[in-house]
Amino acid sequence: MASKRVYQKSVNGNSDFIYVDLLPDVKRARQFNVNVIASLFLFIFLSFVFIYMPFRTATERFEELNAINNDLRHELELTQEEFAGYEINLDTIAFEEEIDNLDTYKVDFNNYFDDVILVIDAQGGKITYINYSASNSTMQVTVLHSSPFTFNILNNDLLELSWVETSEFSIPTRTGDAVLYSSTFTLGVDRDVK
Amino acid sequence: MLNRKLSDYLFYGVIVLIIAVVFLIRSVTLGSLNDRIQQLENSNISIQNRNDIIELQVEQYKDVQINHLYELYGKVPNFFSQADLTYYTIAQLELVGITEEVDYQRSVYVKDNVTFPDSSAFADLTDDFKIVEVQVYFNTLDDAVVKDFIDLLYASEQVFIVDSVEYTTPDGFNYIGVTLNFFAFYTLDEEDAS
Repeated sequence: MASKRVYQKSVNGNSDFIYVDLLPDVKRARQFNVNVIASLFLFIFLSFVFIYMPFRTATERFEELNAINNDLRHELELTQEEFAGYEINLDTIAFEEEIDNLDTYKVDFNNYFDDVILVIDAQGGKITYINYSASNSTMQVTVLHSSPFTFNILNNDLLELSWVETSEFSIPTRTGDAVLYSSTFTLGVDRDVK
Repeated sequence: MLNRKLSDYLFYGVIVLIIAVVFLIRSVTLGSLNDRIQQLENSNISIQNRNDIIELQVEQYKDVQINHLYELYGKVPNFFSQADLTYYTIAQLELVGITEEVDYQRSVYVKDNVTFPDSSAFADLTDDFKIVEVQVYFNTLDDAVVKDFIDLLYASEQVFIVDSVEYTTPDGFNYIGVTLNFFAFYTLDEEDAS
């Protein structure tokens, strides 16, 4: 509906004119306002659910972790002070441990060889050659004996030594004109034996 | 004035925009916070581990009487001198009666920078020490000299490890040749370590 207004110039009606607004009088849609309000509420709701609540939870978690972090740092300072108080030098300790480790590579050759001599002597044998190698963990001993059958007994006796891991012997061969047989025993040496 | 259809489209667009903005804000704020939480968690784990290690070291070493460094360097010197090692070996041989007389045919050869095959028992030690091999040869009528020499080596302040011993047993009348190799250990120089 076009709006119409009458403008009076005088009381007798001369020069009066009528203003007619021909533009349509369209009311602003109410739907638009509802949409704005709905959008606003939606924004608030989504912000609360997806921003505020997770943020609050994360903030609490952060503060909790931060407090633990401060405690741990303080504890670390105290532990470091305690460590310094005992004057512990890790480099020296490591160096000493390496040297101690070196000792485990030592093989008491003299005692081991004495063990072999005792075993061989007990069976009436005679050692003619000795070759010990720590790198290969082996000890080779050439033995002379009058009986070719005794070497097997000797082998069993040698195997009973605590530091002997393995023992093998070559086929006894007769030496020269004498009635003696020679065989070389190869013993596996266990350097870690207690 | 917007018509109804356009207004609806605008509304839907605004909803999508709101959702996008909410999730954008969420990802920015929570993402940053979560990163800091993750950093704190990692930091806490790291500090806790350091704490545990230091506490363990204190517990383990607080009562350990560490030898002074010079004592450790006495066992494994930090300086290698070929001449010193040669003269030391000769001195030990002199002590067991192997003099420079022609009969003994004494020889001492120091071999620097020894390498080992992987199968060798000493292969692992090359990472921790500079290893020097001393090759000794002499003649003797009595193989007890060999044992005495090894005893002297093992009684030395410096760590020596006998690598190989080879000889034929003496008959009491003829000299036998003894070949004996042993290792001396030194700290690794930075150049060696690299």
